[in-house]
Amino acid sequence: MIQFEKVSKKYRGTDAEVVKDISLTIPSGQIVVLIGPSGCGKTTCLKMINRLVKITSGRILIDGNDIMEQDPIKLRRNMGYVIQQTGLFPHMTVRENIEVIPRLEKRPEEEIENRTEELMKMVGLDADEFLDRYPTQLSGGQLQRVGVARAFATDPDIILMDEPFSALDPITRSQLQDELIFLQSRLKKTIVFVTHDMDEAVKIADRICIINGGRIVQYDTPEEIMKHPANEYVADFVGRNRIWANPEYIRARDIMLTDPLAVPESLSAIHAMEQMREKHVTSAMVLDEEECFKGYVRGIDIQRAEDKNVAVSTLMRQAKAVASPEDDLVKLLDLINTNDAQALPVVNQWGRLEGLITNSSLVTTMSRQYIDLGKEAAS
Amino acid sequence: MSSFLAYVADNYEILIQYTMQHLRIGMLAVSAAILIGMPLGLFISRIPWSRRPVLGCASIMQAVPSLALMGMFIPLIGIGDKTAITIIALYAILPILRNTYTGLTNIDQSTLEAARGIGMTERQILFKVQLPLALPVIMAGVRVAAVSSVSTATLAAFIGGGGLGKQIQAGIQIISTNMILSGAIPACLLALLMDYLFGLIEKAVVPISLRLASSAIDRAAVERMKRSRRRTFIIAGLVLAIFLGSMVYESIDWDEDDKLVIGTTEYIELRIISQIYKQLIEDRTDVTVELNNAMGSFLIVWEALKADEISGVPGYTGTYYSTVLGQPLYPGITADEIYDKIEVALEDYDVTAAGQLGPNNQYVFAVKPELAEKYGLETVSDLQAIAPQLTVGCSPNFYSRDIDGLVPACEEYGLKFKNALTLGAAPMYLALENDEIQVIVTYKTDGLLQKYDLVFLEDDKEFFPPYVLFMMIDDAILEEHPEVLDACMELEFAISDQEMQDLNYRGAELGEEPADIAHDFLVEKGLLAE
Repeated sequence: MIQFEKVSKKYRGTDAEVVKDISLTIPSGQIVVLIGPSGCGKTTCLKMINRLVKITSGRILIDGNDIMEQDPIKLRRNMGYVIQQTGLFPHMTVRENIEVIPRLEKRPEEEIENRTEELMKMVGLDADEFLDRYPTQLSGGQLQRVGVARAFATDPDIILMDEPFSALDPITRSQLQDELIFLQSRLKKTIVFVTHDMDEAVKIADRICIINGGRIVQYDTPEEIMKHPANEYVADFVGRNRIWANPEYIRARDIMLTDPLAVPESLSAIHAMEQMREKHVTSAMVLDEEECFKGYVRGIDIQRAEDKNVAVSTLMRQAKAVASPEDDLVKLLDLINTNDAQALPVVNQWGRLEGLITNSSLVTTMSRQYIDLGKEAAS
Repeated sequence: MSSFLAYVADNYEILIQYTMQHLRIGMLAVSAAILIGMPLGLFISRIPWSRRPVLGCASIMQAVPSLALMGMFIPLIGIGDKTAITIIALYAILPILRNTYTGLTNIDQSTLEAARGIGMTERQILFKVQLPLALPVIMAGVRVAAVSSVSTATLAAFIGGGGLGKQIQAGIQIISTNMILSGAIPACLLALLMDYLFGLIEKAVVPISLRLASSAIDRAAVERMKRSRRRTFIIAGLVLAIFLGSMVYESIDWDEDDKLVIGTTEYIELRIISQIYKQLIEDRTDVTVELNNAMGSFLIVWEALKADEISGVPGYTGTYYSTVLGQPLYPGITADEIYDKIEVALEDYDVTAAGQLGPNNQYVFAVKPELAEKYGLETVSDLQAIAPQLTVGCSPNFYSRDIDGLVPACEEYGLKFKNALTLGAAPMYLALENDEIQVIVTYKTDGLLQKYDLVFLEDDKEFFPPYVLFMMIDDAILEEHPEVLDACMELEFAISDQEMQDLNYRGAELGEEPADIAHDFLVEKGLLAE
């Protein structure tokens, strides 16, 4: 766990604080992305963790220990560090690059060699083919894989990554992001990752910390940030349409009709019909005495019924499918498609009806992205 | 060509000796420059504010003419190899300093940041990252410094140092193309050799990955390069070891007791005279005499005498009287008057005047016989009428003398020459031969006068003070070895003007060795057994 406590940074000779009074907790085993426009202080924050940048005031604790009280060399060797330009040493082979620190620490030869092979496997490079090559002989993606391997060489608990994938082409970048996510799922390191790319942040982050002008604007999960931007700035920065690029963050609860017509199962059909007419709907949800969802009744079925005074429960149909409030858009579409359903009741874990998703509400929801896009383009 | 080869074959021993001295001077200078330049470069790369003043000073040092620098250093550290090495090293610092700075600061910042970020210490970064990456650039600077140092090592001869410059200067002195070439060619080859050797080292230190197109590097190529790199380092190490060894060896017999060092400029007359003294003193006493016959000017010689760098100096009374001791010259002053006054003045410097030799090498106007005949020139005053059509040539020294130099002489005689050129002794005669100049001011005993058969114009107003050869010996030597003075006094007035001219002719024109000339002379005079 890394804790920032009221950390500020002022560079010598300037008045302006680059980082202003930042307090932040980075939980162990998570990827926390620091994001913001260039010059916002995100890289400064990162470099303060391994003391490449000196803290002006405040303190940073790692697992409760103030970093200023630790030997900076030891501190850094216990943290992986990956930077955009890879920072590989051009005069050393891939092997020499990866083994720099282990060798300086005079670890046993055998251990070093095994570890290097392991790391190469981990980052998806063939050891025999690449270990004796020089950085100039590698592609950008391969270089950054080596950079990542070097960062893991001492098996540190914390990895600092400073825009590691920014210089790569989109396909390679995406690949490396996927691999990082996969690696992280196994290794559970504490990763602090700086980027200016919101897509990247949303893709890999457990938590995103948006920084602007040296302050934290919002620090939350990607979903919360997209759905509930703390202010206009975040909304603009995240992009109002960001959510559409990530349909998995659009949940049933976000798009459902929250007040669908619901009737108790004992209500007579004629009264139910009456309510439908009033509300201009063609069906109503049926609830039991505990207000749990039972099924639905269609207006057309009531019209066709000879005795309209029976309880609606007798005319009620079972729902083809129900959704839970947490189901995302992809799941909802899937439910509708596979079950050929017209509508999806949204039912919580206790069986209570929370809302209703209809074909038309889906169309409305999904069309909003184009309307928003149009608005954004117009503005 | 064949005469050149014959000359080299006859003199290869001395040439090899000079070459080794030359190399030693150049390499010691480069080593010193590396020892100063590299740490300084490192320093200014770390401490930004120091960059401007340090690089500025180094650049200024580079811009000061080397002769001036020599003049400034002789009073401080004397003459000889060490001064030459100091000065050459000062010149060599700049390229090393600048390239060290450039090499260290031109490294990609992200590489350094990564090095720091993964937890390398500053020292590890310096030795494992910065220096390997900067070394090619630094070595390029060292290469430039080495080549230029070996080239400028020629200058060492000007201030009494050794090296091939000695050979070249001696050659210029007597216009011997063979001698000049036998000094210049090895000097040139040495510089080229340095360029080549340091080029190899420079190549060897370039990180393998940065040498070839990346596609060309396979494992075998890398292995090959690593091997050749090791070889280069081993060879370079061996050369360095041999070199240092030879230097230690040389330094051992540097100091010797009972040694009298006679210093002169490279002027042939003084070289012969110093040989005469050497052979006579060594014959009469137990003192070993060493000669340093290649010092830049009589002022350098004088400074060296004062600084006890040398202990015996043959000189000219007129020169020392006026220029060195600052006594007023006046027309009509006699040789003995001058000598007596010098004797007294030298006491202040703990130097003893050890007798006049005889030849009066005073300045004299000379013209070609044809010109003398055509205009009936006999005295300097006769020049007055035709001077405006003539160009006069003289040594830079004579040109700039303010009491008995060209300007006061012309004033005295009312001469207005068309032009005045300053030339070295040998080129002056050539210019006269080619009619680029028509009148020269030379020394009465100059050996080349015989070759060109020139006509002296009589100093009818007795303007030129006498320039009689005399000897000076440091008192420190005489305290230990008073017999040295006796030996010197045996030579008092032993040589006539004509004899001196003959000796000079043999040296300057016939190219005989001063040692042989001196020996023949001493034997002829009955001062030395055959």
